[in-house]
Amino acid sequence: MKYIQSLLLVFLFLTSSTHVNAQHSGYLGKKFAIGYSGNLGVGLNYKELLTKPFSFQYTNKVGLQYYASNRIGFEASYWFDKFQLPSKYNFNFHYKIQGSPVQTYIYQPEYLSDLKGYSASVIFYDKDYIAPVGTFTKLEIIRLDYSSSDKIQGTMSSLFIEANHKFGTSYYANIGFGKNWILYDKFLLSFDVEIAVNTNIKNAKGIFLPKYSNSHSSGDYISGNKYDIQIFYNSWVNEYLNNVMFVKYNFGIHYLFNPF
Amino acid sequence: MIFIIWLNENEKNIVLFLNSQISKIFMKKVFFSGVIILSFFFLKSQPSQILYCKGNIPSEILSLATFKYSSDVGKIGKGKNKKTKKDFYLQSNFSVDDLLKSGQILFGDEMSNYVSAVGNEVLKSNPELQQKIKIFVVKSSDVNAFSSQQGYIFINIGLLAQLENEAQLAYLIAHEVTHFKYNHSINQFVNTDRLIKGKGKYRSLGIEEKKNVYYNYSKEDEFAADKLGLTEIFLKSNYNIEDASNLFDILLFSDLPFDELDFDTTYFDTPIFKLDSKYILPSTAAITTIDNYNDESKTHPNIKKRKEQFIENSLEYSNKDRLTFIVSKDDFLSMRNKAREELISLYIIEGQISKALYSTYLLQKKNIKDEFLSYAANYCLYAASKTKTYSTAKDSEPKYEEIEGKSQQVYFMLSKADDQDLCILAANKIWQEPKTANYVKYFNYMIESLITDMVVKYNISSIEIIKKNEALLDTAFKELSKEDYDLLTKFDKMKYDKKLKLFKESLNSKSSITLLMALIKDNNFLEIFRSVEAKYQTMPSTNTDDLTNREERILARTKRRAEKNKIKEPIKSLCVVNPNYEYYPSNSDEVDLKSSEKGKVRLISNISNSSKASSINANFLDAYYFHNEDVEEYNNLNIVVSWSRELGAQLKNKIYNEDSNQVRMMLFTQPLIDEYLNKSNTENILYSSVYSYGGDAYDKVPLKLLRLWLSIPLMAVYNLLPVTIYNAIKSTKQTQIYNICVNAKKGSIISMNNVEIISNDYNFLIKSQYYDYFQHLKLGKY
Repeated sequence: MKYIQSLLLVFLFLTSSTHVNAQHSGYLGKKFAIGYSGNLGVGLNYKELLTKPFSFQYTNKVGLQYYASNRIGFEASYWFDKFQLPSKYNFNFHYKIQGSPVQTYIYQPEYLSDLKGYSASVIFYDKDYIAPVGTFTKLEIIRLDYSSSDKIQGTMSSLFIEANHKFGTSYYANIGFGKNWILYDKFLLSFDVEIAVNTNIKNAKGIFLPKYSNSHSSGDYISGNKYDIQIFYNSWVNEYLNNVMFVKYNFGIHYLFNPF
Repeated sequence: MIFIIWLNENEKNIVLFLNSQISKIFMKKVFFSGVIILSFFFLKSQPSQILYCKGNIPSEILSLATFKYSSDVGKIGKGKNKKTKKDFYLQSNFSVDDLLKSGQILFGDEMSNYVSAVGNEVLKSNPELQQKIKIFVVKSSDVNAFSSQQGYIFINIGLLAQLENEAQLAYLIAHEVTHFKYNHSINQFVNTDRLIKGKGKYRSLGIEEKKNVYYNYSKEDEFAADKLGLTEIFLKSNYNIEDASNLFDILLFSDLPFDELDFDTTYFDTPIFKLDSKYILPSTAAITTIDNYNDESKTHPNIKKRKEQFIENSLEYSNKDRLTFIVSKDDFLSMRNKAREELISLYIIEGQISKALYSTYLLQKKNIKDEFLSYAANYCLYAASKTKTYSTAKDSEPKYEEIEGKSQQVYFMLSKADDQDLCILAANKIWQEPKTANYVKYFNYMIESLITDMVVKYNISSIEIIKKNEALLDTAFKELSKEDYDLLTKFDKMKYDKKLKLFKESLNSKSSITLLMALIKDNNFLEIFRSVEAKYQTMPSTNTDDLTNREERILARTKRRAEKNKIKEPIKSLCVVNPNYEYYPSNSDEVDLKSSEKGKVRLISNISNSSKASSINANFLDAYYFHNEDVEEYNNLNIVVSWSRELGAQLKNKIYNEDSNQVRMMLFTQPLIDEYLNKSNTENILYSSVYSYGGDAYDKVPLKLLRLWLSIPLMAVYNLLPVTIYNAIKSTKQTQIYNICVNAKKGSIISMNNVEIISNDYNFLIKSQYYDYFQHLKLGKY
């Protein structure tokens, strides 16, 4: 919540600065756009190129854009999705419930994680275009929080992973190249291709040298207690996200308006 | 005559000149530059002081050329040369449509009604043909008429002004109708196409032989139109044959003014001033035009041959009881008089000042009290003086040595006159002219403008002139007042008269300063002179002679920054005239006419939407925007286009202040444009053009191909795929948008804007660009 507030404050500052308001920007005077984008990340599975070469991760985004001048725009977005890791590891748990002997359970978790995040970007429109029309380059900072889903509550999975357990937070530096079209003078259609890199370089290198496999392979057992599983998942999800965030395709539709 | 309408030499020069000017202003190479914006109305439109269209706008003007083309193509049927005929209909429909929508066509007025009535009369014996023909008068100074395959006959004002009688007009119409009747336009087009491509019997011909074939084919058509026009149409009417035959002389001497009278060499003289004989030709050049000229490389037979054929074909017909005038002699004379007055306007617009002045003189000899003629004559002198003072363009008018006939005197006078002398002569003439209510404001403007030149350019000071007057009074001879003179004895009076005569002769009455000395004695004139002096004495000196190079650069840079940062008067309304759109499917020069027309209709809508969004009131003057009851708008279109054409001519003659982007002289059509601007509540005119190129934006290597080559290795590196995809969605098409905004009250260019975008010309792209431009105008940031 703190972050949303910070983002909004920054956004409001930018939109209200007198210098920025002096520009007669926007499409036919419409300086704002609000809408939805679908962000499809396509990760390349280097370890499984012959069997399952790609991983797909679709994330929803809602965002607010503001066109500060003919060449510059700002966007603040909220990301959200549930995601499922594309393949399953086998987890071999030894557990004991009171009054029962130690048991071994082979666990193949499925629906595990929630993804939520925020981003702020600056959009630079190409020369001779007037924002938001035309081709652009976008620089974005994304913060993503991934946690276990509340839907595992009451399932077997909750024995091993707590519901709403926060696995981690990653920051990504994202650059996008795209194009906007206007429909009926009201709607903004956009498409851009993006490359995002985890700002933690140690994590970033895992994209090309993945530690974890994403495909099912029998015989892979992770043994340990609940705490170990969570640590494992944290790393595994982090690597997965880094992979699918690296190359992304963003499709959006926004509604243009001017509230003033 | 075939359908093709061509630019005359004058207009081509305007195109070339503005191209260079605007390149300089933008400091970069521009494909077509802002000249194109102005050039479309340079095509032929000229003003009307007196000729306005009336009634409803004919549907031929309003309908899209694409529809007309589709209708014509539907009639082609099967047979050879189908594609060539389609090409012909495409080009002819769009060319004719350009002319119809240009604002220079007359309809519904007395002149065109009369001409149509003559057409109906001569075609009375052929009602079916009569139904297919529509005659339009064109506001053009060219002595020309032409027909189109669509059945339109266009007759220029320049030709109507030269006609001597109704019978000549009737024969002219018969000639043009014959071209239509026998499909000369389309047949010649098809034949020329076969000739160029070397098809059939033309296969083995060389270039010179092909040229000969082309000219001979054209001449045969003209002979046929002369002969069949005479025998099948004209002779079936009751018009006088002999009168009609003189039409050929009109064509032969079409370069000459519509009459030949000696120009009065005392035109500038007053009781105390006589024009220096060095400005007067002792005799004018004889007219040496012959009718038997070499017509080998001409599309028309020479006049002698045409006359002989005419006589031969009419021999067996009696001229008895045939009439010179059938519709109305009075209407003919009225029509011709109006045409001649209109012609004067056309000449002035085109910068043919000497020709205009001589033509005005010819009419004034018959109708001195016409206020329009008075304005025109004085304007010519004003324009001649301004051109002499400011124009750096060579050959703005023909050299007097090239002129034959009595009008040569005017060319000589105006070309030989000293700058200062001409300025004073013009000022004197204008000052002496009785002012009429309609033009008094403009006379006053011209006077003030000429006085400004005297003060600023020629450093004439009122104090010096007054001193000269005083010096004259101080000499031994003193002029007596009437009362004192009456008191003299008879013999004293005789002595006084003799001395007065000598005194006047001694005033060096050939000097224009003498005129100025007399003018200064008029208190009203002196008041204006002094106010001009006061205005220019308070202006800071712009003399940079004493500055070093560095200081000059700093000064120039400071001025440029100040100019750039200056917030100017916001523009709240403007007139958008004939916005232009052209689509080139590849990077060649071939414009796609049908797509261009569609694009133009879109463009008008896009500009309209953008102007509404930016709260600028845009009034459109474009035939694509009109409805059939908008005749007043059509007339306004003509006015604005005429004024614009005249502005262009001044730019061509470089009578233009580059610092203020303003013409240095009032335009002749200013009264008309002022009237329009007052009615429409705006001062500004926007000229706009959009060019869309379907071909690749880069010439050398097709961009898409280049990207494909690069994509292959890039795709091998998966993670660079986004860049490849991004490049694929980027357009390679190009769109150029040019805007020029002019303050029509002041005659100054207030804003020029040029954008080149690598993109298709989507509606939203166009709207966003125009919105941005309008915002700049609205906020005074131009």
